[in-house]
Amino acid sequence: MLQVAGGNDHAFTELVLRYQDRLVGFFFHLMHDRTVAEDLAQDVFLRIYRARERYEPTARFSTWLFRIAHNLASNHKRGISRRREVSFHTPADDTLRPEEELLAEKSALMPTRRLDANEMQEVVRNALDDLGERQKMAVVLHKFEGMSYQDIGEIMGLGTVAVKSLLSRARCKLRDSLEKFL
Amino acid sequence: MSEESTEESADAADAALTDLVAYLDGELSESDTDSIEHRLVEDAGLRDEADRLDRAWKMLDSIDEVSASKEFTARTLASMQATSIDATLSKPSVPRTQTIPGQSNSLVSLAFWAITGFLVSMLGLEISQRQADRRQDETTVRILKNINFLRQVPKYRTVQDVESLQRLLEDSEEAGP
Repeated sequence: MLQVAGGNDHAFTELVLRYQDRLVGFFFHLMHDRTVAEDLAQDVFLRIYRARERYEPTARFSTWLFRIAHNLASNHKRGISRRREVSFHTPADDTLRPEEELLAEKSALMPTRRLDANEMQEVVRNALDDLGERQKMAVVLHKFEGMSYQDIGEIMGLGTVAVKSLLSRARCKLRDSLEKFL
Repeated sequence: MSEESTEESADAADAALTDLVAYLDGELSESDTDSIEHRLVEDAGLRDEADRLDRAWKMLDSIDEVSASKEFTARTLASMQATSIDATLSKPSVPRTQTIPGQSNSLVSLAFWAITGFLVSMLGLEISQRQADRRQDETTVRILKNINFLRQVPKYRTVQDVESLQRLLEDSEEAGP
């Protein structure tokens, strides 16, 4: 990144290649839309490029990168909530979504039926989506990006104790959602 | 059990669970890790809890990883180049001069236009001078062409008819200077 700050555009290409999969994956876990994920990831890189001359290596580059990504994701979600007039899905709602209803029916008919890989993936995704926005963000950063509590705190603007509490609640909620499949 | 003690128990259970999750994440200090491991040895319920939390967490591994499409890199770099071009075009072509506090750029503008006006007027003068010189040159050429005739002008005053004068002029031009 220091080379990019110095005007080396080849170094920026290297950065894009090194982090693009992680960024797209990060946004996809949060948004479930590849187009949106790539648009947001591209936005992150553009913001970094525009700010390159002001870059100061006070923290790890990945922390800075994901802080920008976190802010963009939050803004995007906020924009979607404002535009949504009718909510078709409320995480706290007990009403089952169609795919869960189907799975429940199948399980009722064959309680010991094992789910195939796609079905399991769907169940797990839904359990992740049922988390609160901040819990989900912390889980994605910790599980899929391998970030420490301290890194997560720096990215989300929280203290380490707050991150510890957030992840504890998230993991308990995941355990409850996936109880019958454990 | 009183309400307070129920609440305290719940808080303690929450704290234990929070520490357990942090332990599973490898985020506890050495002393806290020792403490939790000691409790896990003694408490089957806590071990069961740790196992369920761990298995639920590992189920997240079943989610497929998504990577950037083949076009992503090219698209991103193209946007970066467009940003770079926009930034270059928006920069002023003439470097801004530093202004002394209290003065504006109007003095600079005034000087610029004064110099421009002077140069234009000098150019105009140069052009008209060259035109004049060209006219003078043409006149000189004509004079030189007809020098013989002009030398004889006093004598030609005695010639009365125009045709004779015309013939004398033509002869003079042929003869040259």
